[in-house]
Amino acid sequence: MLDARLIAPGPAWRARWLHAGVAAVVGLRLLTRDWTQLADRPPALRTHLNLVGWVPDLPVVALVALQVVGFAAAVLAIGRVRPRLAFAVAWTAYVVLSGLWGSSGKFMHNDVLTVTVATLLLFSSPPARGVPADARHLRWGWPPRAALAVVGVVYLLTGVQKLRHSGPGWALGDNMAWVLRQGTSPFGEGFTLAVANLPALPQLLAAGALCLELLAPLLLLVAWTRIPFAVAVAVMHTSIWACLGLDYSAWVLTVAAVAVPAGLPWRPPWSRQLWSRQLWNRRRARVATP
Amino acid sequence: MAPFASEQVPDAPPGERRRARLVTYTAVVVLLTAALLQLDAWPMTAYRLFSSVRTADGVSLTLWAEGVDGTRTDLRPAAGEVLGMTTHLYRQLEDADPAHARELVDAWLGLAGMRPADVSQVVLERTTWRMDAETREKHETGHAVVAVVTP
Repeated sequence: MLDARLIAPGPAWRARWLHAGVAAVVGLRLLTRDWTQLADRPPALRTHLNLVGWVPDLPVVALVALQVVGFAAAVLAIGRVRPRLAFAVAWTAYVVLSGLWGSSGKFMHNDVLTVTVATLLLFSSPPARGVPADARHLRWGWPPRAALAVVGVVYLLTGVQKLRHSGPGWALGDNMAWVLRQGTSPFGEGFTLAVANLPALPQLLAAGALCLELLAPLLLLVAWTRIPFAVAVAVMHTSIWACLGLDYSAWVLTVAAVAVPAGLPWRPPWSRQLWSRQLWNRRRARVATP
Repeated sequence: MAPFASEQVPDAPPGERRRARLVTYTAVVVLLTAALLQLDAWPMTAYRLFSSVRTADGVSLTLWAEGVDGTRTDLRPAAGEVLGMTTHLYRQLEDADPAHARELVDAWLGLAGMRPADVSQVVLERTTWRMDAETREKHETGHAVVAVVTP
């Protein structure tokens, strides 16, 4: 039954939105980071136990070239100019740069969700330009569903690991209060201390986050809870940034790119493309003519 | 507007359904396997985000360069996220063979703008502390030298 839900036809507009949305997140990540920092790291202080361990240390010019080429490719993918090839180029630049970024001894989770979802899309074919927005096909149905499944499993795992390693005390005890006190807020330590020392608030924040993570697969399975899930994820990660200064914006944007198109009950009117419908009909008529 | 208007297109090629299953289920199995085996090899990860319980007690590692003139300099890189994260490699000094330890220490000395010839030894110290809930002040509860490296 789950298999039938995952491997089913879907409308072209949803696959396009997913593809363009994830490409936009990749492009934004490539654009907004100073990748030249990587050139300052001595080779001895780099770890190699990861997907990009084989990539040599790159000079500044190569880092900037990767950034520019990757960003340009992401823009082309959004604009549907050779979208599959453009997406693959953007993905390659993003994986190499963010993989190198996370090779300094600490595992960086900031980009792993985007990389994982984007990797899925490498194996999918976005609808061609001439395909009308509401045409349905298996080819465009499975990628949005696979992306939902992956996002659901990732959030479930983050919740399960908390229970596995710490039990319910993770949410019910003083854990979150100490996480807050030991964090560094962009709004100053007074803000973090105030939140940490309010009675029951840290426990409520922890319990809310844990519930959201554990319920993610269920919330993403049902169409009408997908957009509320994306909103709840944005609230959770924004509160983490406000209290601890940790940037999980790539997670927020990736969840939005996956869950919002999949949660819309119908195609938004602005995605209608009459010209592409006419092109599609002409093509079908040509194929049908003996 | 009718939801999900249903203009149909020709059936998918025979391989499409197989590809959809292969990609979707492989991705899920890889995620679950990494979590089960506690693998952390980027981008594969066990997704242990804040999964340990925090308390008032904590541990810090500090890497000091002791100059031939007796001065002590904290070797924590000051600038940039990439260099800042290299402090997570401090613990490698505990088990590293002498040659690798010297290589690591020389790299941190270079980042600090120090010449190995000007340093008598580099010391890795572990400090345990307890945080005050009201002031966030850390009170030292223990102190140990973990490794000493001569550059």
